[in-house]
Amino acid sequence: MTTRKLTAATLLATGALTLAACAAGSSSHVVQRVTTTTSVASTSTTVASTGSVPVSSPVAGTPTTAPSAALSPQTLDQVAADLSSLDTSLSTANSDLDHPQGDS
Amino acid sequence: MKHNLARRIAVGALSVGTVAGVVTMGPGAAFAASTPGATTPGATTAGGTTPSSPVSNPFCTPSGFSSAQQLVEADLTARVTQLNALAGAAGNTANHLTTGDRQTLQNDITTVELPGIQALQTQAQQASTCAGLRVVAHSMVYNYRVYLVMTPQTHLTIVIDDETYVEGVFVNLEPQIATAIANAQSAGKDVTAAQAAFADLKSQVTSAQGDTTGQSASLLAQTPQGYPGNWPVFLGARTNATNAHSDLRAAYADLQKIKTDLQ
Repeated sequence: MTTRKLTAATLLATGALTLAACAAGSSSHVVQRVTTTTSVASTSTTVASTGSVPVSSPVAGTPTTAPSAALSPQTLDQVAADLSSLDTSLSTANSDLDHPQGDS
Repeated sequence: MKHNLARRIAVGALSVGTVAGVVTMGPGAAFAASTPGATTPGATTAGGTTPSSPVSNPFCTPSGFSSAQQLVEADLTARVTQLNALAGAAGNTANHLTTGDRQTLQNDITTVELPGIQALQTQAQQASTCAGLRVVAHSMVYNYRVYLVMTPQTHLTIVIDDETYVEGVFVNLEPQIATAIANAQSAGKDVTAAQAAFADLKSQVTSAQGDTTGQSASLLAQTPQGYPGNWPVFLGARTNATNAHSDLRAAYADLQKIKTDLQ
C-alpha cells in the first residue's frame, strides 16, 4: 500500500514537472509574439483615429512602415548624394563643351 | 561606337589628301584643328552650332623642325593623359553607366584611341621631315578627336546614365510615397499639399525621362570623323542633360516637401 502511494506520488510529481516545463516553453513563445505585436502596434498607433482606442493598443490593418522607408533621412540623403554627384559630372561635361582642352 | 581603327585610318588618309593645304604646324595644338569657341575671327562660341573654320598657320620649317616635333610629341602626350583620364572615368563604378555603355566607352578608349595615339607617338619620334610630322599631327587631330569628340562623348554619357539611374530611384520610390500619403490621409492628416507635390514629382521624373531617353545611344554613335558635323549632337545632349538635371532637382524638392508635410 505504501509502495503504491509512493508510486502514485512520484507519477504525479513527474507529471507536474512536465506540465511546468511545457508551460515555460510556451510562455517564451508568447513573449516573442507579444513583443512582435507590440512592435507593430507602436508603428501603427497614429492610425487610431477614433480616439477611443488607447494609443498603446494594437490597431488592425497594415502597419504604416512605408513612410519611414520611402521618406527616411537615409533615402533622402542618398538621393541628395546622387544629385550632388550629378552636379559634378554635368559641370565637367559643360566645361568640355564650353572650354575644350587643347583644341581638337 | 560604330567606328574602328581601320575605318579611322582610311578616313584620315582621305582627309590628309583633301585638306593638306590647311594642315598647320603652329604653336599649341592647332594643327589642322577646328575648334568651337576658338578666338579665330568668325568662329562661333562653344554654345553655337557651327564650329570655327580650320586655321592655317604654317610653322614647321627645316630649321625649326625640332621644336615642331617637340610640340607634336607634347600634344600626343597630353592626349594620352586625357584618354587615360577618360578610361578612368568610364571604368569608375561610382558612376551609373550602364554595363553596355561602360563597355562601349572603355573599348573605344582603350582599344582604339589609346593605341592609335601611342602609335602616333612612335611615328612622331621617328619623323624626320616637316611633311612627315604634318601627317602625324593631322592624324592626331582628325582621326582621334580626343578633346572635341571623345571627351564630351564620355562625360555626357556618364551624365545621361547617372540621370537615368536617379530617375529610376524616384520611380521606385513612387509607390512607397503613394502609400505614405494614403496612410497619412487615413490617419486624418491633410495631405493636399503632399499630393500636389507628389503629382509634380511624378511629372518632373517623366519629363526627365523624356530628356534622357535615347541620348546615350546617340552620343555613343558619334565618331571622330563625324566632327564638326556632330558637334550639335553634343550640344543637344548637353541641353537635354541640363533640363533633366533641373527636373530631378525639382523632383527632389518635391520629395522633401512631401516628407515635411507628412511629419
